[in-house]
Amino acid sequence: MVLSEANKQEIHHVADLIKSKTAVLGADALARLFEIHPQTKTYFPAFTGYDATNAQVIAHGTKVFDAVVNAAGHLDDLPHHLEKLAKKHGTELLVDPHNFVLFSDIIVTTLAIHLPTLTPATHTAVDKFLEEIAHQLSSKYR
Amino acid sequence: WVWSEICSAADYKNADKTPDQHQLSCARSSSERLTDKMVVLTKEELSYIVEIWSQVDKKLITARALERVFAVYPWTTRLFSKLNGKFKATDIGVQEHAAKVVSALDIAVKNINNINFKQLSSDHQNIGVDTQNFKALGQTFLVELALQYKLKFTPKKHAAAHKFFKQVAEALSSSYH
Repeated sequence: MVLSEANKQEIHHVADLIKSKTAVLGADALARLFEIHPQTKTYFPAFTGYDATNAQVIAHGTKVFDAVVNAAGHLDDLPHHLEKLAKKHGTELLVDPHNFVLFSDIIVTTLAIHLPTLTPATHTAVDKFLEEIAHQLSSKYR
Repeated sequence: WVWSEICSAADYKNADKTPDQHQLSCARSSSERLTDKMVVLTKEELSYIVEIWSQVDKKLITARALERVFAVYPWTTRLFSKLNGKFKATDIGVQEHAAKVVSALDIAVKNINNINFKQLSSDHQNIGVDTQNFKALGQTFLVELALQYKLKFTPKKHAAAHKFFKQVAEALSSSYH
């Protein structure tokens, strides 16, 4: 799956908009994931709560969104950039890869809530970008 | 499963029964409807969907969701060649399809947890629609709701809407064979 130059511009623009808000967006996205797909909570049995005000949810959501922003700075070498995270998910964390797809949809909806706007063009670019991240994160399982 | 959640609003003609009688009555009617796949909305979720559907500009949000699904998932245009590449919300072809979708959703909202789309499902299969498309349109509907309601579209409301569109997609897929 190839990102066009227009796609890349959209992704850089979104990354710029969210880089100072990764805690708020990350917590919200994660809380929505836990609400909509309760089975995803099974990966976080030690959490004391699963809503966006919980400190652990905020910490983890921040981590995820910081990683997404970082990845936006490596659009021309995503496989290499994400290799370490891919190995971690594939051999250590063993998160079912289907969850990356579920989470991607929720991330898009979260962006629609928090960003001033989300045109179909931006939506498409972000969707492609998240799809590629999910693909890379799923690549070291078997 | 909580029996009060499985019985749809229509089943509340059981109001004069004892809890055990009510449970048996629901079990009999529910077993015909329930399958492994079926997602069920709680009373709270159901009332949120009814409320939101009465608040939105139905034709507008549906047309926008269609424009978005055609743009973000271009393979969904596969069977819309008669639209001649005109896939914006304001284009006549999209408006016409939006009107049909609104009519179907009007029925779905009135029959949550008991949506009968057997004929509509057959029609879609005969046309050749991949059932995955229903999920794609569900997602773009969620995005349109998020754009309209922003933070008022809370995680719980988001989850309710997600379940509703999943139920619609399941109902539309139900006759495929």
